[in-house]
Amino acid sequence: MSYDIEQLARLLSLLQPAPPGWVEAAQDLPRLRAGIDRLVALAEEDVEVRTRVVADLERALA
Amino acid sequence: MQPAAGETDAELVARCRAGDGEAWNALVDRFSRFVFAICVRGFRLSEADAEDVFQDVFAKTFEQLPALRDNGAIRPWIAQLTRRACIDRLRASRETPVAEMEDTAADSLAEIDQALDIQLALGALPEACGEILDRFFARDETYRTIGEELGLPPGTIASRISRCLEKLKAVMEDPAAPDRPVIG
Repeated sequence: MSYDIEQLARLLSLLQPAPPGWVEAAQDLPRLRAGIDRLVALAEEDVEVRTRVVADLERALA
Repeated sequence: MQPAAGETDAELVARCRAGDGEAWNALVDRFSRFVFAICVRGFRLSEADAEDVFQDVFAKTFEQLPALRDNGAIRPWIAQLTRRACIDRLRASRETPVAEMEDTAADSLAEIDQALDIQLALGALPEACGEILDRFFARDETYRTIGEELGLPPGTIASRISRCLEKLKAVMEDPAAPDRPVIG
């Protein structure tokens, strides 16, 4: 494919950088997702602990 | 950040799928301008809508990457994700006739795809050519700023740009040119 200089210049100007904050937010996705996964795991663990404690208390009172 | 020299889309996606965090950063770098251009040039979204679509596209890319059948198909896949997200956004706003905008966008999208090829080719240029062309045409920097940033006399920038465009033309017209790295 052949290109002329004006066409190359115009095509170069089409891809301007996205705002840096947008790019950083997108690059941060894996870390955010890992954080959410950790929170979900902790919440699930918390439910298990609570359930176990309540069951122990109920057994103690029975 | 720049991906490893000569790394293809397929290689980059393979590294992402293997859990390489640096590869994800490089993937976002490689396609961020492409997604941004589809939003603001192709579909003329407002800045707020474009930001929502931009984040949505990369969130979907991150979530759905493990299901991608062909690592090398990432570029058309991201283009399609972005196009659909833009159309959904326009439908929700009901301010612009969507069919009309799709027709207008089709030509722009072909050009934006071609522009990504050109941007990828910048990485194959010698010396500071890629950076000079990117700063002048894509970042709208003045001769003075480019000169200061790159330690070059401002009076030489115009001639350097001209020479670099000729080199870019040669790279683009070389049928044996390999896949090229991208300027971030």
